[in-house]
Amino acid sequence: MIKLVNVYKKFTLGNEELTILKNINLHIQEHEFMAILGPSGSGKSTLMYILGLLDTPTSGKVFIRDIDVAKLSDDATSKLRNKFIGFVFQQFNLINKLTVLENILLPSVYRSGPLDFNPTEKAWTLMKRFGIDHRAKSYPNKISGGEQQRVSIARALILDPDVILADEPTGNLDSKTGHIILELLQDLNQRDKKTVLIITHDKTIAAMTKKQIALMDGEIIKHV
Amino acid sequence: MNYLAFIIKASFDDFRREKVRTALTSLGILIGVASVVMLLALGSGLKIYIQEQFESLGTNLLIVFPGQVLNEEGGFRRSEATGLGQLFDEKDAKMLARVKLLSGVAPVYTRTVKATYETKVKIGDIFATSDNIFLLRNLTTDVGRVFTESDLRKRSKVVTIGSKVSEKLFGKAENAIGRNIKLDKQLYRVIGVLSSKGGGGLGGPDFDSYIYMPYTSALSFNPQRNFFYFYLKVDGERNITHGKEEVEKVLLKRYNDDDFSVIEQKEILNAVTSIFTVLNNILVMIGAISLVVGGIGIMNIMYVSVVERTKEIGIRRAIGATRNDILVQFLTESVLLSLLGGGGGVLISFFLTLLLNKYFPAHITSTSVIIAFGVSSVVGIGFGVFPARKAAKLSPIEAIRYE
Repeated sequence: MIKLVNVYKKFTLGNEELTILKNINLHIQEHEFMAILGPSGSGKSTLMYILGLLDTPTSGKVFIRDIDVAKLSDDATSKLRNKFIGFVFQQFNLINKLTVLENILLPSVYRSGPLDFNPTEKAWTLMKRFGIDHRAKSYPNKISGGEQQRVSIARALILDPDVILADEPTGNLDSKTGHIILELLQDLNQRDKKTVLIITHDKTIAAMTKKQIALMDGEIIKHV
Repeated sequence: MNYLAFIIKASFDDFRREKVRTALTSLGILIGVASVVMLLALGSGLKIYIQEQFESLGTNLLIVFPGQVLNEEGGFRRSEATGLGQLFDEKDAKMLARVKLLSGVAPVYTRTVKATYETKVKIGDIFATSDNIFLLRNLTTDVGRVFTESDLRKRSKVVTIGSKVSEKLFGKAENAIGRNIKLDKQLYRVIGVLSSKGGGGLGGPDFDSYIYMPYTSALSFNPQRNFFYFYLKVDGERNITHGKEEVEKVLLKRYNDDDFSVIEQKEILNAVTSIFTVLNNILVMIGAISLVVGGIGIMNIMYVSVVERTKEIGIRRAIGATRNDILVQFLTESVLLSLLGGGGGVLISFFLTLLLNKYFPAHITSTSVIIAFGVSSVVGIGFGVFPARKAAKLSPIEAIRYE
């Protein structure tokens, strides 16, 4: 479903050229539950941004359902992100001036085509499922971290994307809440048949997934 | 929800959160729009005022001046080039009286005199003329009567005086009737006091300081019975052009065509109005400068807002907003800010105009309101587009990493 072929990502810092990702070849199948494991600085976040179409590789190719994304315009890429990918971030990345309900509905605002469901109804269903429906009118900075992360998962799911990309989703949560969030992501893979990718530095978290990739200094060192 | 409706609501939510900033930012536009709308209102009020003044002085009037008064473009000629003087005489008046299209001829000799009654003195202008002047210039009396054709024939030493003259010399108008006033060394009996015509403001003639007398009894002032100009009333508005030609034909028998000019009241009105229009346009342009300054204020705040909301822009881009969505969001915000100021400006000028209307016929036209809103939107778009483009061009990855 997502294929990376010979992907390199380089930055120049002054006169020095830094290689963040080296020759990444990766094929993510449909309905996969996978972890990208690596210490900080290993390039795993950059890899996630490339998978999530927020960043482009310096060389190499990214295919989504056999479409070469380099050939897409900025608008088409945005629309593909909107339709195909749901992000869950370590920092939650909710918009604090919008209510929980408005945050969850935000991707539907940017949807270009018509929807075959009512997004508000869907948002309520998701909020009930994640136990945050009593927070619908609250603002994100007034609720707990665990609740915020559930809001961001609900936001990621509102347009029913194929892939959920979760970047250190438990990084800002205590272990108990983190565990609940991870079970939730597991559930999305098993019950909702979503492709779920978790980026983490934590081996125990990675162990919950069916497949792991270990990243070190920008290179894939292990496929499990 | 429709995207535009959504971002309009979001913008207003932002404005509510940032009340002081919003108010101060739109204040620039508010002041600009208010000054432009007010100046336009004053301008059109002034036009109405001048027009009313002219109309109160009689309609369908032709005025015959010596020399060339107006230039080809309809403006006034430079005064030193005009041959003002006592060109016309009684014979001209009699010839003009025979023109069929005219319903009245009033020759005018005028000069400034010192009018005295007992110890009181008033400087006024005498109008040595015929009884037709009252008909032509819509003059009526508050007390007493105007002088008549019979007074003219009998060379009666009588005057009908303006209200200011009467007030200064006699106090109440009733006290003036039958009294003799001294004009230079001659005594004249007051037979009537005219209703006030206003004027005298704005540097125009002070109609209430005039003293009207039969020209036949003004021989000590004007022994030759010469006249500065003629007022002519044309019979019906349709005949003005034709009447003018007839008058020119008659005068050409005695004078060269550049010795005199026959001017419609309307032409003078146009010339005066065009002077004020130019003046008003200059003022409106000065007012418009503050609109530009206001626009720069909006641009400045929008740039700040883009930086402050970099992270938000990144989040929106990550979940699928296109560059255009971001551009539209920021443009909408700046246009709304600008329209908020524009609306406030129009509102304030409405209230100011209401107040002003007690003293002056200031008048807000729907055109000036439409222009105000149009200009505010243009300012909002024009000055909002640069910050909005900056927001739209942010790379999503850099924006979302921004702390």
